[in-house]
Order: sequence, then C-alpha cells, then structure tokens
Amino acid sequence: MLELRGVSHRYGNVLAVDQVSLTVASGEFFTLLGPSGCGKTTLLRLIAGFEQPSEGRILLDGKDLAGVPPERRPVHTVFQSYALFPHLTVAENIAFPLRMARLPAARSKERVREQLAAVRLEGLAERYPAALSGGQRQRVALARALANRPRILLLDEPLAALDLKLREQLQLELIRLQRSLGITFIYVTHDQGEALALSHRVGVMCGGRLVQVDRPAELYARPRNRFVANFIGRCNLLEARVSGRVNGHLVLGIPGLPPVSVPAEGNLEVGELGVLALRPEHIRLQPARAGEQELSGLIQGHLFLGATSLYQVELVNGMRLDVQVAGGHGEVVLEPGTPVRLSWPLQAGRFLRE
Amino acid sequence: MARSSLALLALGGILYAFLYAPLLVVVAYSFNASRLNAQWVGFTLDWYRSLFDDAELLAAAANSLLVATGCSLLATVLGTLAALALWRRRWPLLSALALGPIAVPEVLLGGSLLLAFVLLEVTLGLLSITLAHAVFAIGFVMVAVQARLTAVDPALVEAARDLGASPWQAFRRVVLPLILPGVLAGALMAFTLSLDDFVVSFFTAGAEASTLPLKLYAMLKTGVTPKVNAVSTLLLLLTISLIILAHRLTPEILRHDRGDTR
Repeated sequence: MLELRGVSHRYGNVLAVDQVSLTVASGEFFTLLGPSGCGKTTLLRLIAGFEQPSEGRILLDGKDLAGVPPERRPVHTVFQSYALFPHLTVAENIAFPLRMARLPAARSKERVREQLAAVRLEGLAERYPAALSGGQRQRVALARALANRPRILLLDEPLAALDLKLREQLQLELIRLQRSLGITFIYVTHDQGEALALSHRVGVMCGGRLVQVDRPAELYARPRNRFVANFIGRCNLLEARVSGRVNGHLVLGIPGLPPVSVPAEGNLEVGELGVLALRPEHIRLQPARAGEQELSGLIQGHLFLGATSLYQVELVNGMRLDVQVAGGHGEVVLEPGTPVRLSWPLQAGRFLRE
Repeated sequence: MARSSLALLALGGILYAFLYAPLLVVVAYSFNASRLNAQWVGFTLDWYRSLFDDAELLAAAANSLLVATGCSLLATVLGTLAALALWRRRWPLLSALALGPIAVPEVLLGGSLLLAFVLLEVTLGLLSITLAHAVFAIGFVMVAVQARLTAVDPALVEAARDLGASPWQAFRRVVLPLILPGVLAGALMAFTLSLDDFVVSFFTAGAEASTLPLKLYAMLKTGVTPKVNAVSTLLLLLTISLIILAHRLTPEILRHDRGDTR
C-alpha cells in the first residue's frame, strides 16, 4: 500500500504539487489524469525518488520513503522516452535491474526469457534498441521495468508516442500484464479515454492539486466540479444559480431560460453560483415525458461522427448546447434553423459549484 | 564542369604539397647516405642505427613517453569529469574557462606556468612538464567528451538509478560505455599534444629533464644532421598513427545509439 500524506513540491517559487493526500492499494491500477503542467509527472518523480517532497510524507507499506534513493525503492518506472540503454541488447536491457540486484546468472537468464515471452518479443533478444519499432521499444521498457518484480510500477505517458491502433492494442496488453502480475501500477496520462479504459481508480489533477479520486464510472457520472466535468468526456456547462428547493430537488435559475431542476446533492445554499452540467448523450431532441426537464432552441449545426451524430443547438437566451444522438440508417438530418425541443431525465443534470 | 573540377584538383594538390613537401624532404634525407642535406648519395639506415647508440637521445625519448602517458591519464580523468560536471548545466563561462589555456599563446602559458611552479616550489622536471601539458590537454579532452555527451539522453541515468544502479554504477554501466569513444579520442589527443609540445616543455623542464622535442632542438643548434631527420621521421610516424587512431575512434564505435538518445 502506498500512502501520500499532504505531499507538496516546489520548484523554486512554483508549487508543482500542492497538498496531495492519496492511498493506493496493493495490486491497484491507479491513474493520475490531468492536463500538461498539472503536476502529475512531478508526483510520479516524488514516488520514484528523483525528487524529495518539500512537505508531507510518502509511505510504502507504512515505511517512510524520505531520503531513500531511487535505487533502493522497490519502485520502477517506464519512462515516456522509454530510456532504453542504446549500447545494450534487448536481453541485456531487461537483465539490467536483475544484474543490479545481483540475481544469479541462471535465474536472471530464465527471468529475461519469461519477460520476453510476457511482452511477445521472444525473437528480438539480441537486437539493439535502435533496430526496434516504437511499439517494440515500449514493450522492452515495460519488460525491463517489471523484470525485477517491483512493488509499484510507475508509467509516465508510456503510450503517448504511439499511433492510435497500437495504443489500443498495448492498452489491452497493459491490463492483462497488470492483472496477471498483481503489481500496483501508477499510470500518468493526459488522455481521459485511456484513464477510464485502464484504471481501477482515477485521480484527476489540476494546478498541482488532486481534484477528485474515483472509479472511472463514478468520475464520469458524478464529476465533482466544473474542471472534472469538462476534462472527462464531453459536457455542456451552463452558468446557473441555485434559486430554490422543490420536492427535494434543486431549482436552478439561468438568465433568459425557464427554471430547470436537478437532483439535490450536498449542502448547497440558495443563491450559490455554479454551472448546470449536462452530458450531450443524455439529451434527446424530443418533447419532455413525465418527470423530464425541457428547453427549446434552434439547430445550429450537425457533425456526423459515425456511430453517433452531434447537433449544436442554440437556446433562446443565446447559450449553446451539444446534443449527441444515435445515428441510425435513414435518419433525417435536421437542417440549421429547425426549431427543436430538448429533454433529459431530471437525474441526468447536475449542479456543480464553481 | 570538367575543367573547373580539374582546377580544383590541381589546387588541392598544391595545397597538400605545401603542407607535406617539407616533411617529405626530412623523411627522404633521413635515408640519405650523405652527411650533408645537399645532395642524394644513396640509401642507408645508418642514421636510424646510430639513434639507438645515443643514450641521451634514448633517455629523452623515454621521458617524452613517460610525460605523454602521465599527461594523457591526468587530462583524461579531469577533462572527462569537467565534461560530466558541465553536462546539462548552462554555464558557458565555465566551459570557456576550461578551454582558455588552448587560446592563450603558448609562450605566455609556458612563462606563467614556470612562474607558478617556482612560486609553489615545485621542482622543475618531469612532474612539472607533465602538469603543464595537462593544463592545455584538459580542454581538448573535455571537448571530445562533450561531443559524445550531447548525444546521451539524461533520462538514461535516471532509468539506471530507477532500476537499482547506484550513482557510480549508473556512470560505469551506462554513461561511460556511451562516451568511451570520446574519452579514448581525448586521451590520444592529450598524448599526442604532449609528445609534440616544445614551447611549454621548454619553459617548465628545468635544467635536468629533457624531452624528445627539447633534445631535437638542442641537436639542431649544431646543424641539421641526418640523425635529426631520422628522429623527426620516427616522431612523425608515431604522431600520425596516433592521430589516425583518435580519428577512427571519434566516429561511432557504437552503431546502436541512434533513435533512443533523444
């Protein structure tokens, strides 16, 4: 179990990591998600031991890691650039951590063979990194970092340099490896799709802070604030103000629109400012049924996305909403200027504080 | 087209003749049976044979090799350390300062080193020559190593540490193999520079010690004999071999370091 308690890190005057507290369970696939410069890579470097926290403590199985150099931490890293040793063959690269740990030669050889098999690179043992493709290098980096069975594997945007097809294939391999070895993975990415697909839990970071930690489904369904809602998936955000409570629901006032109700959550006061968050796929271009919410507007544009279509709708007050509809065969495309009514189940809307 | 390339070839020929003709004359006369450098009489190896009967000359040659070896070792270690220290740091001034002794006129360098040795009460002799040679050789080694280091991804050091290597092991197992061609080229350069040096040696040798170039100069005072030509030829041969060796080390010994060293 890895525990971060109030960890902060400063580079000069810049606060790169700000009071992060987090517990990652053994065998968990945990992802740190955030835009570039949010502090996620710095957090990884703190765990690896390349940087020391300015404040706070990092504990592994209850043992404080303060002052423990990187080579004495049971934590290995897959670097974004892979950092394969160019003067060593694939097999020698994978054997490097085993050699440093003084594993007997026979066992080291056996382990290298296992690792090559695990990442399906059996035939390439004697190649040099320069003679490998990007995907192959990535696999060697993974095999090398896992060779000495660390307690925790850190992965710093390991798939960022690869093309989409390869990325998806390697995502599946990562999941398979992680589940079969039971090693804790801490994965850093700015790609929300990757985070949702791979992880048991995701921690969203922004400006050095850990904004929300949740399972992927929870994160998608119940983003805690505007940043998370906007970062995870596509989301409509309309400036709103809490104007009252009716039947246990919150009533939101949006200038120029009829009142809209959302489920009441937390201790929100009347008069509070925030946004109404609505996922495009939860909105239908149909009049409201019983218990649903409704607004009206004009079609502005249409984007064909393959399995679905995206309409942009302008509401009567000038605000715009994206609406995602399943794009079946023979569907009539609504022309710009067509008046439409938009509806969604009350439960689909959420009020998020600023 | 053909005419201009012919002209270029001729010009190149003249240039090389200008560079090497005097040396070729020295080499040729070292095999001349005549005692005078005036006319060709016949082929002989007598001058070379006589070198090995000259105890003073042999002692000077031994001194030169000793000094060059010492200078090379010292400059290689310090120059490599300097290159490593300046790696990834933006301290252009320190880099420039390490190269300073190369830019300073040798007469000035020799004179100031002599003063320094006298002030520090270092006995003038082989040790002082070795130290003095290292002063200007360090910069050459540093540049040779720096050229290799720019191609080394600093993340490799972190990767090594991450995988269980101590700072020393990370250097020994990862950085050193990658910069080794630069280190060896630098070492050979330092050796060659020391072997050839006259001016700095002249100032820092003191009364007793003599290196081959110093001895040659002493011999020249009594006239250019074929024996001098023979010594010069041997020195030339050694220097050129070392330069060729250093040059061959500088291109990639390791062919496998493209792509990953970003």
